[in-house]
Amino acid sequence: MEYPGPSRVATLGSLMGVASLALPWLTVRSSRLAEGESISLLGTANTLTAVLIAALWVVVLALSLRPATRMNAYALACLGATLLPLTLLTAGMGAERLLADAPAVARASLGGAVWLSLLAGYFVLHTSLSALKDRPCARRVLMLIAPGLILLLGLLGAFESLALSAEFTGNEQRLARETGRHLALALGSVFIGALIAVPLGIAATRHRRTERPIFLIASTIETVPSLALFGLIIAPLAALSFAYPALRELGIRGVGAAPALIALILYSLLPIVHNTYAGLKQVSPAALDAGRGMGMSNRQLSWRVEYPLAIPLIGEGIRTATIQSVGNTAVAALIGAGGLGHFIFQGLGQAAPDLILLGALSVIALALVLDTVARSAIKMLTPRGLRREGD
Amino acid sequence: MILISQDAWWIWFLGSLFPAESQLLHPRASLQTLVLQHVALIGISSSLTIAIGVPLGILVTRTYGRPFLGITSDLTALGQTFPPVAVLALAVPLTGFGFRPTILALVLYGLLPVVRNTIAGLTSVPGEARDAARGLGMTGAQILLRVELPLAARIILAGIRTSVVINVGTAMVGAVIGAGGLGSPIIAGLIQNNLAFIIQGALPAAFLALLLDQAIAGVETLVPGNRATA
Repeated sequence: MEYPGPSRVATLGSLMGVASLALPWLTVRSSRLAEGESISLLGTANTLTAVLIAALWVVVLALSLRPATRMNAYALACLGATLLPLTLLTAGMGAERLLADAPAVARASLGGAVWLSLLAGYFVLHTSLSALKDRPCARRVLMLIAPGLILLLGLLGAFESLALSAEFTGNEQRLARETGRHLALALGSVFIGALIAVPLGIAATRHRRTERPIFLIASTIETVPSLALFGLIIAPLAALSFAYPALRELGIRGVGAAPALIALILYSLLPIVHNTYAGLKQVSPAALDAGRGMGMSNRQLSWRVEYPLAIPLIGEGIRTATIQSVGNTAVAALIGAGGLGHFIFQGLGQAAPDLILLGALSVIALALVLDTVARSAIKMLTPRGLRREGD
Repeated sequence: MILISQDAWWIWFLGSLFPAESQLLHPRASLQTLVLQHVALIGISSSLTIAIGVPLGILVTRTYGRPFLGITSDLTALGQTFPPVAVLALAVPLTGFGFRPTILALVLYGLLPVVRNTIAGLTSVPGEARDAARGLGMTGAQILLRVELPLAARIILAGIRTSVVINVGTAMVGAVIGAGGLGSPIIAGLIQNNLAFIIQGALPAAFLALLLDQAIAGVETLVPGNRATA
């Protein structure tokens, strides 16, 4: 087999890694809101560790300049998988050492160098793993090493001194509660949205006259900014609950979860309607003919041929709607609906960078987890005849 | 738009809707200022997005940039999973409060659909078209400018449209970090429980988003080329 030339992505990654050696690794504050002081690599780690990290990046740079053989890809993948946890471990231990004699309110946050090293490590790992596409087993193992080690280090308490963990421990219960609320709002709205949107999508393919108005309304809603849509729903809801006190007793007020849920449902319509429509339109006429030839009625044709064949695209629409809903639910914290956006806006209000980070990272993590779950669910629900080989 | 920026019209309109509110218009800035601030946020961020995103998409589809194609598509796909608000929030610890972090977040997030669609558009150009152009004796630059970009224009424009619409929405939330714009009356209205303020921000913002969306959609129909599939 012929190997491609040197991996330029790995070269770029290692240059970023080398550059990170000169950037601040930690920011130490006397309290969580105070101005920070930047700490370099030598201030964070002992000389031996610092030299080790520098040496590893130089080796990555040297390897990336050589022809990309399989051995080379294995070596780069191992180095990338080592450097990612090593970077975080160094920062975590550095924070513990620096804060050892400091008062309890002092905080140590991750500096630019750590974030840049993580990106650099991702570059190296990504390119070396894609060179190992023909070795799926080794690839999977190498892919899991870095996250596995980082998780292990986290469980062993290596990051406990970092400010992000301090915010996490300080908000643990609230975080669990708001995550639940975020999930309920985001998933609940998509579920109700799907119950409305899938029939609408089917109607758009069956009755030509409904096609334009359905798409016009759904895409108009989608274009309106989320904060504006929340605002436009708050006003009539407030008026309703004022006029009918019974509604207020049900918890339907101008602000809170009710307007958020309504807006989120409206937002989930377009991706699902669009994909249901596209999914039904792409069913090949040959498949329908075959079904008809087998003596299926129109109803059977719909349920046993058309809908199953449209499932992958409908699922894709629901996935898109879910990701979008997770993001818009974060904005809904502004109208008092709760959810993980609470931490973001509280952090912004207090100008507490690590609380902002906690909120933002947990929203991102939630989006990524739901994305992965949705992708595997789609794969499982795809009819066997549609699965591509190797999937 | 002219009607929208007349304060007198708004006082009449909001007064008939909310007769009980003593204060109808957001006192800190006139609606015209807010709309201008919002348009400035979108204008600056979208220009930067296009100026960076389209060349980046072109770069990674050239022979010398090919090695970066995989990681660029994977990173843009991954980034699109991130909620825009999270990106906006992350820009604050980096650059502080105000206009700058909002622009930074809008540019970073806006880049994703533009880069993605530039790559999709350019890779959708059939190899025969490129071969024919080469057969006519065109140079690489000529093929790019006269064959590939025109054929990819629609898909690239669709990406720009997505990017602008997302940015109008994210810029609203930018009001929380002090970027001004049409989000500020909404935030003020939520804090002071004043429905008139909320409507004063929400209606023009919805209108602005629809207007920009339709404007770019109009440009899209003017250019020839492959239709956007995504």
